[in-house]
Amino acid sequence: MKRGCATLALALMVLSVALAQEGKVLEPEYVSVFYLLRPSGEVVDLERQTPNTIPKGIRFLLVIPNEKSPVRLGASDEMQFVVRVSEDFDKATATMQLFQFEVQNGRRELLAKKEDFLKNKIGLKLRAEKYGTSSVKVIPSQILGPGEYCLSRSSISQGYCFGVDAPRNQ
Amino acid sequence: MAALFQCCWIAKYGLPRPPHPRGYRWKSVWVALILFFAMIAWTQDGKVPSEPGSPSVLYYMDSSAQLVPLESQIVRIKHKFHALGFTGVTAVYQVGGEKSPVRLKAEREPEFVVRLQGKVDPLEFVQFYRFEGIEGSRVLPIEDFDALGRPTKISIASATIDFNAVKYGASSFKLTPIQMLAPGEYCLTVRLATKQENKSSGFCFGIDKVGN
Repeated sequence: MKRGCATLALALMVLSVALAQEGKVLEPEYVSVFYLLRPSGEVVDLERQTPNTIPKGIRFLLVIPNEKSPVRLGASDEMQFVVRVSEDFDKATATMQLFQFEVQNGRRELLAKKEDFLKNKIGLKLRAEKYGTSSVKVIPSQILGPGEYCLSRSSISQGYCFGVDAPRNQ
Repeated sequence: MAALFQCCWIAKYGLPRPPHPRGYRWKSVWVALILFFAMIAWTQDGKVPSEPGSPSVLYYMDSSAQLVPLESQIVRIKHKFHALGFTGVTAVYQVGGEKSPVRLKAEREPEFVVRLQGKVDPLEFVQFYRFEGIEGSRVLPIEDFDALGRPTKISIASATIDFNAVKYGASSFKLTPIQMLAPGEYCLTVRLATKQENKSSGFCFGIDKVGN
């Protein structure tokens, strides 16, 4: 009986500590907002933009003001991003998108057919992993060269943008 | 098991193990239980938020966290023809009445709550627009088309309010505009699974200048 009580007490202690530890991975607070994930686990804001859409015949031009994003990454930086989702993992990962924008006319532009945006035909490939209880970590499948990029989801109109700078010795 | 433990004790100390005082044994259990419930309370936020009863209905959450109904409206898609359509057409969202009877003050960052069914993304299912009060109705231009029906201008982006969404309670979300709302007329719409052609449910309010 004595041993049983002690075991119960110990089990409850371990359980309570485990519950307190759950979710210790720092997950974003807001749904569908992308953040840069530092190797330390710290999350850093990206540039939030809603691109202006201009019809161009059968295509659409997405325009983001300014040539460069104020959020700059080095070409050698580890590029991992995190986003909180409210859907199931598989459904959510199917919507993840990464676009490279062209710098033209003092702004960032991307021209494509609407269905190409929605079906993610012009996006760069991403790898997705579960992160914490309700978030997804997305990692570009290829090394990103210098340029301007935005992460988004096919279900939302916002983009979360950043730029990659060339190494200094180039 | 207890006999084996007693034998080990005697082998080690040469004496039988003295019985624990009854109070000491139970004290440790009580301490563990208190710690357990304290941890549970700590991992929860301690209060159960009040969630909307009906799904897909938006409410304003006032400063005391009470849910206040918004003006329930039908948002219809209308087409405004230019020169009988020879020079094009503008598609607009239209709501009856120039001003919403639900008035909020501009002094506080407003918060809205909606319960959504299933595991869905609130940024996909909820839209937040600013309307203009014109000639007895609230209007929001969506898109311009030329005489051949080709899109020439998409206007809706400039009237779209960007917002953040955070989980609220078991199955609701709290929505907060990322920028202060200027005085004017606003509606939130929810995309339903069974989409009705040319109309959707809107939840509208107006923002008044502080002092009005």
